[in-house]
Parts: sequence; structure tokens; C-alpha cells
Amino acid sequence: MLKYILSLSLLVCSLSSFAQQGKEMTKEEKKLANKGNPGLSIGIDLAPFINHIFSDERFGVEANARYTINRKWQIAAELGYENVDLDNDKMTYTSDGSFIRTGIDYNLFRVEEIGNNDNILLGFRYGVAVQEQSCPRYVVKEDYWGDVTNSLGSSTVGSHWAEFVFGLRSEIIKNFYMGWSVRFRTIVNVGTENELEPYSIPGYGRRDRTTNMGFTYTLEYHIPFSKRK
Amino acid sequence: MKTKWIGLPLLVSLLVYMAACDESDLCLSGQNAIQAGLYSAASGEESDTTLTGVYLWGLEAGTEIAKEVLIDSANVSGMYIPTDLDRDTTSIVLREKTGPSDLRDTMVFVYERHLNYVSGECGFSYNLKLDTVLYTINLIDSIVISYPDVLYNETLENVKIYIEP
Repeated sequence: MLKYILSLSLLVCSLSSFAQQGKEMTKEEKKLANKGNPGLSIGIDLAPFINHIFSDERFGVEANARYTINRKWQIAAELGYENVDLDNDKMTYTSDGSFIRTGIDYNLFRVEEIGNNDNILLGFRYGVAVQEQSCPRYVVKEDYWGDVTNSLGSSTVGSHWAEFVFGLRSEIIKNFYMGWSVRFRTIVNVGTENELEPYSIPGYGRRDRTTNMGFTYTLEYHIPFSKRK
Repeated sequence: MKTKWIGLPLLVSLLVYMAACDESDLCLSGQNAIQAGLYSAASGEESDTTLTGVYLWGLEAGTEIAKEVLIDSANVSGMYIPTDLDRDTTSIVLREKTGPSDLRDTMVFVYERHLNYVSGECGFSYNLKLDTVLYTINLIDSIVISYPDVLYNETLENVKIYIEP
């Protein structure tokens, strides 16, 4: 964890120093550069597909929307679905669920360059997920008396969590943005109906950890609200 | 400055780091065993004791048929007693066979079982709450439940078995 915080802090410092370089601009140019690029962005997150490579029992899709208010502030919402099919010698587990995360991002990147709409973002999200899960088979190992095999029926689980966001977002071609973010997530509440805890919470990740790291890798199309000069 | 050029190497390293973090934790076995310590009942003060020539085995519920031996003629001062997770009781026979004597006692552990989710890789375990221990008194003087919870990833002594002087 410390490694994360340290490397991210170093990155922010280095980017800030980069941002301060450049030619002197006129007052009019500075005003234009500081206006930002207000508008609505819609996009998809590629991270669930990458996650699927490492954890093939989990498959999900995620879309996002971002409203850029001004150069500093953005409102973000992320909506997704996740399916889990886990089958090993200890248990069989299935889950289907959806989630929404909403929050705000603050853009740290200050560049006095017209047309540069890159962002260094620090933000916060609040996430809510609802999932239907069941455990058709579980085995508790007991070498002397013999293993116990049983099942747990279907149940609905509602989960809440908070997450802190650090990310970069860059306009790769006009109105198309590519970005990634790392997330530090912490569980607020998990409401289970029986002994079955979720193996994975949609939008949050593995439940056996009360804190989780996550990442997103997004492609977005931006619809500007004002014509660029 | 274009953040995309700086971002890519970091993203790749993060992906590798997170993939490494996702590796499963070590699963523990024998987590539903009751931990028992042997003590001398000779004096008012509690002191550890060791029995020689100890045998320990379980009794099948209902049939009272002896299962295979858990401890076979060993010197012991404490023991892990596996519990029958299909039932709320486990019957165990403790026997001490030395030259001059051959004594045996039956202990019946009564407990509540609570299913405990550990992780996707390790599955479930049962946490137990010891309620009562019933026993005969040939070799054993008394048994006291010192810590009633038998929990996953916790190794605390649950019962104290006091041996007749």
C-alpha cells in the first residue's frame, strides 16, 4: 500500500512540475486555456475484460458518463454488471449483479496551453451493488471425521462502499479520451440474508478483503457544450 | 505535456502488481479442532502435566464404534481434538496405559456450529462454541472450558483437563 501511495505522490509531483513549463501567454490565451472543455463524456471501461484474463471466474462490463463542469470539477457515474461462476474443490458459487458508482473528480492538472484538455484527477465515489448469489455446493474439510458437504440457497445481497480515485485522462484525438485510474476501495456495509458472504461484489471486487485496490482503463467520447475556438 | 505517454508504463506495472496481489492466501487445515491442555489436579495450584503411554480415539456417533487411533502410545501434555462437523457432539476416548495401570475415560464435547466463510479459495469452515464437556472420572479429575470459541486462524487453549494424582 505504501508503495502505491509513494509512487502516486511522486507521479503527481513530476506532472505538476511538467505542467509549469511553457511559453508566456497573453491574458486572453490564458483565459481560454483555463476554461477547460465543458461537456458530457460517455465511455466504456476495458478493465473488466483485463480482469477476466487474471480471474476467469469473473466476467463484467462497465460503462461510464462524465460531466465536465469546468477545468477543475467533473461529475462521474459508472454503471456495470458482473457475473461470477466459481467452481473448485471447496465450493461452487454463482452470482449475478449490477452496480452504480457516482462521485466527483477534481482536476489537478494546470496547463497554460490552448487545446490541452488532459486531466490528472483526484476523486471520490460512492458505490452500491445488488447481486443474486447461491452456493450449490460447499465442502468443509475434516480429515478424521470426514468432510461435510452441503449447500446454501439463493440470496440477495446489497453492498455499499466508498472509493478514492487517482487517475490520468488524456485527449488522444479530438473529443476521444483515454484514461486510467487506480481506486482504493473500502466496504461500508454488506447486507447478507444468510451465512453466504459474496465471493465478489460487482464493482468492488473480492469480498474477503475489507479494502481493495481496483483500476479502470476507459475510452470515452466527449460531447462539448461549447464550440472550441 | 501529454499524460498518455507517462501513464502507460505505470498502468502496465499496476496491472502486474494487482495480478500478483490477487494470488490466493494460504488455506489453513484442522481449524475445527479443540485445543486441550493437561494439568495436574494434585495441588490447588495449576501446573502442566505430561501423561505417558497415551492413546486417543473417537467414537462413531450412535454406534459407539471406535475409529482409528489419533494418538498412539505417546507422551503428551496437550492435544488437538478434531470435531465431528456433521453433529453437535464429539465423543473421544482418552486412555493411559503404563506398566502398572490401564485407565481410560470418555469425553463428550457438546458445541454449537456456525458456518464461517473464509474465501473463494479456502471455502468455508465451522466456528464452534463449546457448551459443555461430559466425562467419566477414572483418569480425569475434571474438565474446565477455559475458552469456548474454536475459531478459524486462532490457536488458543479451549479446555483444561485435570488429571487425577
